[in-house]
Amino acid sequence: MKDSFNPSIEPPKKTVTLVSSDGYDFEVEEEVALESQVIKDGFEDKAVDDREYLLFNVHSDTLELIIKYCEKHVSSRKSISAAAASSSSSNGEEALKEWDEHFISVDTNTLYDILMAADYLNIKSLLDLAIQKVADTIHGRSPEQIRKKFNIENDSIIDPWASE
Amino acid sequence: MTKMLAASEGVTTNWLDLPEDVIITIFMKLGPFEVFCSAQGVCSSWRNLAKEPRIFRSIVISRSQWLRFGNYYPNLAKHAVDRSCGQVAEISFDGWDWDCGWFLQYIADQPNMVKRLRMKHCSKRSDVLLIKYVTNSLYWKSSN
Repeated sequence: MKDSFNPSIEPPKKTVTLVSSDGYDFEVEEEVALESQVIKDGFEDKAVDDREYLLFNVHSDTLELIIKYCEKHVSSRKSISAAAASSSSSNGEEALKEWDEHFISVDTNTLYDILMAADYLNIKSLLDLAIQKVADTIHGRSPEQIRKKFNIENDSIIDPWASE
Repeated sequence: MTKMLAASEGVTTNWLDLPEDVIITIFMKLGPFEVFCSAQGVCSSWRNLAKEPRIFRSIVISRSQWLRFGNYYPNLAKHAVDRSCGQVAEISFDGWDWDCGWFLQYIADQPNMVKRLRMKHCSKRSDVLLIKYVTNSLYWKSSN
C-alpha cells in the first residue's frame, strides 16, 4: 500500500476499449471514457478485464471527435484545478471555451453526428455545446432557410400563424 | 437503457430523427419568439414539438426583437403565455412601448408560476403602477 504514495512511480493508466459501429477499436484512458454518463453508470458492474464498450450508434469518424473532446476536457480540468491550487493565474477556462467554439465549428452533417453521439453517450457538456450551435445556426433564419440548411423536407404547407 | 438498444441502421443525416428532448432543448434556447416566427414553420413534426409548454417557461423580449417583430408583439407574448400552460416562470421585457396593462393583467389572472418579472426602459407611468400591482399578485400566487 505504501508504494501507491510514492510520487516517483506513475501507476499504469487504466484503459477501456470503445468499439465504433463500423468495428474499430479505440483504447482510451478510463477517466476519458467516464466523461460519458452512460459508460459511467454501468462501469462499476463490469469486470476490470472486460471493460469494452460496443457503441452501436457511433461511427468511427464521430467517435474520434468525441474522444478528442473528452481528452481535452479531462486534461483542461486538471490544469485548471492545478492552477487554482497553486493560486497562479490561469486563463484555462477562457482557452477551453475558445477551443470548444473551434471544435464545434463543423458542417451540419458532422454537427448532427456529434449531437446524436453526445445524446446517446450522455456527455452533458458536449450536448449543450452542440445544442447551442444548432440554436445559433437557426437564429435569424426563415423556415425556408432552415429547411435548406438542415436539408429538411417541408411535409405540409403550414401557416405558422394559424391558431391551434 | 433503451437508448443503447435503439441502434440506427441508416447512415444518412436526418435532422427529424433527433430525439424529441434534444429538439425541445434547442427550441428552449431559441426562445418563444424565434420558435413562433421560424422554427415551428419548418415542418409538421417541429410544429408539434413547438407546443411543448417547457419552451415557454421563460419569456424574454429583447430590444432588437421589439424592432424585428413590431406590432405582433402583444399577441405573440399572449400566445407564449397560453402555450406555457401555467408554467411561465420568468418574464423579461426591454424597451417597452405598447400599452401592456392588459397583458400584465392577463398573466396575473392565469394560473402561473412567475417568480421573476423584469421590465427595462418602461416609459408609461400607468404601466409602471400596474406592474407593482401585478407583481404583488404574482408573488402572492406563486407562494400559494
